[in-house]
Amino acid sequence: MPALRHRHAALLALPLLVGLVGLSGCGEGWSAPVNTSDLAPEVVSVRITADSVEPNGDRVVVERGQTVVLEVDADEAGELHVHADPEQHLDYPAGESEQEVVITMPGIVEIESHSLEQTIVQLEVR
Amino acid sequence: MTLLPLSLLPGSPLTVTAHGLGGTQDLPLPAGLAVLGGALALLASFVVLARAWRTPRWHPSRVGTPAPRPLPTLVASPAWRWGLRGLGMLGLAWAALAAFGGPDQLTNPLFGMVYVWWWVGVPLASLLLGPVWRAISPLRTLVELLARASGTDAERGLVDLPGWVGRWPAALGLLSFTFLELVHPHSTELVPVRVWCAGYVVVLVLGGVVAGTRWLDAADPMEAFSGLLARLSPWLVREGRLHVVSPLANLSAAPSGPGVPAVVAVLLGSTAFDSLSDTPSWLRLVQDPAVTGTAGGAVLLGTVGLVGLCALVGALLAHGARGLGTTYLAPAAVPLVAGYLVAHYLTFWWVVGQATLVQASDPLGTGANWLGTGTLGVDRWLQYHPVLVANVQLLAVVAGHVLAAVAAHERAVRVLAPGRAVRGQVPMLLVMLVLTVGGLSLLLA
Repeated sequence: MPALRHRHAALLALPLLVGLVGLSGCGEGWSAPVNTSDLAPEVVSVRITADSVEPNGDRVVVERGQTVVLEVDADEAGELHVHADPEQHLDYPAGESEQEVVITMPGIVEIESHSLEQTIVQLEVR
Repeated sequence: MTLLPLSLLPGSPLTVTAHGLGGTQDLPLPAGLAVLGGALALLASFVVLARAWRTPRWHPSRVGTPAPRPLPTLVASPAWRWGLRGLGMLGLAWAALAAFGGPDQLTNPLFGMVYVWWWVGVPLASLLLGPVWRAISPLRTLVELLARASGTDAERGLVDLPGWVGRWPAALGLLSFTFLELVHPHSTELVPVRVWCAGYVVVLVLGGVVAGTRWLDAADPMEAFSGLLARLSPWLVREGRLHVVSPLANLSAAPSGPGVPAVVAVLLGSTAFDSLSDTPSWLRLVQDPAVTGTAGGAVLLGTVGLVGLCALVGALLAHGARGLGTTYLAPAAVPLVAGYLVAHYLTFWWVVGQATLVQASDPLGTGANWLGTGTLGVDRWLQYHPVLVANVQLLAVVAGHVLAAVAAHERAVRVLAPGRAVRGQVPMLLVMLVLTVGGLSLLLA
């Protein structure tokens, strides 16, 4: 019986190996952080009115430490919430202004309009 | 996704976003071979099983070997039992203190205690240690104490529950909790969480007074959740004695019954909805001016999405199990639930769980440090290793599906005639493939 069990265990290991071969593709696309001082800032234009915001939940891929410049054009003054750890709050005036965000930890970080409670962009920090 | 006003302290370790709590979320998994790998692993295991595993290996009433001394005596002792119960009561008291005396801010530990320690931590612990919630449940303690005070039978109560009730009330409870966590627009404000928790305690304890602790078996969403995952643990109590058992053998003895498929469907469907609701496509849909301009539009859409996905998963699993009966379902579903639990919540549990430990030292928001944990930091090592996290997530999902295939196969060769065991499983294999591809695609999004 024990011999049989070992044979079964070996047979079951096969599919897991197949799976792992598939998984090994994961390393690609997860490059180590580059020298971020060389990177041009990622510019995102944001238009905020009383009841809408543009972009409306788009995802933007950035590197760790890369500066993200939000070019805000708003009808009224307001506040952006950056859901990083720790959370950051950015006040913007009515009219045009620029806000900067730098995220150093990988992950998805949502930037939200506080008054509209809507996600403007999701930064995919790699 | 609601934010508290500026009352939030700068530098607070907790922020609000996916799963209700937490700041930075996991990166999406890289696409490509991942889905293919998962599907291939499933197909390969099916072929291997069909050829090499033709007779049932475990009899539910014989699995396991008695646990080494002094473990059986220890876990059967009143001191152990009531020690754990005391721990549970302490947890409930602490949560009540924060719920009714703490501030309506994210620094209130109630949010982390409910959404992370309880909702994620108890099931994860159950994977390793067995039915943790049943052992510590303060609701069970309250029902037993009330029965003792009134001289009634704690287990049987005053009335019998009809047989069709099964675990249906627990499935509804799970759905209501996932609605609070994932759809409710104010899931991280004190009042909705307090109301849900108070409702949970009142409905279960009052029901327990009427129908005994059997009501808790039927209706406690966490007993259902934790009890399912305990079937992948190496511990089993059989004939009143603690046994050590291989997780697969433990799984083969997983009981089923009315409502169990619904519990599974809600657990898997709500996890899928949590992933879906973080995708840009979903955000664009619910943030469309036509939706935001309608009162309750986003909540309605979220409810439809949540219930719809639970129903879809339930229908798929029922389709896969047709001809085999729902008893086929529970052993197959437990590894899936476990795989997605680990994949979905690992980082969240690690990071926000630690932050909660810091906050728990000050349940009233007075700046106190009652537990001495208030000055601890939050270790973010895991978040700086996204490749590791991604691989653990993928491994959890793929291993979950392969274990599910093994457990389902074991059940099929037990239930079906030898010639039909392989053919009878084809519908479930197809369903598993759909779930693997769908589940991984959502994690990739």
